Amino acid sequence: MGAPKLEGHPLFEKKTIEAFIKGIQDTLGTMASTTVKNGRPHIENHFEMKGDVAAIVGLVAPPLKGNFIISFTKQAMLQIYKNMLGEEPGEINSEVKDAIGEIANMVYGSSKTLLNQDGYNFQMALPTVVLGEYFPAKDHQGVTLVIPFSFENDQQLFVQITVNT
Amino acid sequence: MFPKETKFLVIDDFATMRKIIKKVLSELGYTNVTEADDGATGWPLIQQAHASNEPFQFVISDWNMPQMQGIDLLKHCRADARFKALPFMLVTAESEQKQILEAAKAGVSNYVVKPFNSVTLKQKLEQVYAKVSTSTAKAA
Repeated sequence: MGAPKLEGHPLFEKKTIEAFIKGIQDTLGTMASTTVKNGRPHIENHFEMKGDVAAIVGLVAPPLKGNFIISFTKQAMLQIYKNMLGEEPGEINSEVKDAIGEIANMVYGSSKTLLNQDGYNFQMALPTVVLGEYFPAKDHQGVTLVIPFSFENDQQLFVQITVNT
Repeated sequence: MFPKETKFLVIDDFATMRKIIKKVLSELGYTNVTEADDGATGWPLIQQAHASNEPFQFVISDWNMPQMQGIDLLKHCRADARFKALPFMLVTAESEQKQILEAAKAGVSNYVVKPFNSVTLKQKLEQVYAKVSTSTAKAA
């Protein structure tokens, strides 16, 4: 298999990656008092959901289209929920899923603001939350930008960007 | 600052954000808080509360919601003589100039950009209180 064809795609540019990293770090730093470190962003040939629970936001920045996916391992999300609200639900219930949606909303909103100041035209969209497997539409299953993050005790979360091919 | 018995309406489609705002308000001593999950639910609550002589004295609303958006609820309020001066703060993940201008034009009392912490929300409430106090003094 050769190198991913979309490596130079605008949604995979350095400033896009930096905006999403800043969005994650600002959101979780401010709302959950959690310092999150990013790992090395990389491109994978096929989409595969990394975490156990995720929120998906449709990216629309005409003419660009894609998906912004933020996913957490179960323990990471429960820890973030505790850090945000001081509550320990013990499982991924409807309240925790709601929190993931709101986190995605804030991360996307703040990243979008930065990117639009840089000349993009990202539009606001409402997130959808999924638990377990997620299979995006066929035209979003290909090349995926993956940005891993970690925080206290190696808890993990991921940002994935797919583009409409 | 607003008296502790001030009646708040907090509107957001995410229960998490309503919970966070309620928690901050509670830390500031405000416990008279009603919740709604979007503008379409919030608007009748605002009217009903007014009709029953127990009007809301402060609305904190998200911008980006299904059904009726926060900015549209604000416009409904400002188009109605009963709610022209109702303190109304928008909470939003968007901080672009055009949105801020649209909110200002629609008569928003203040604007909080998510993510925010309790210190920021408190400062925004204080700013609204200062505006309300100034306009009340001018009217007197």
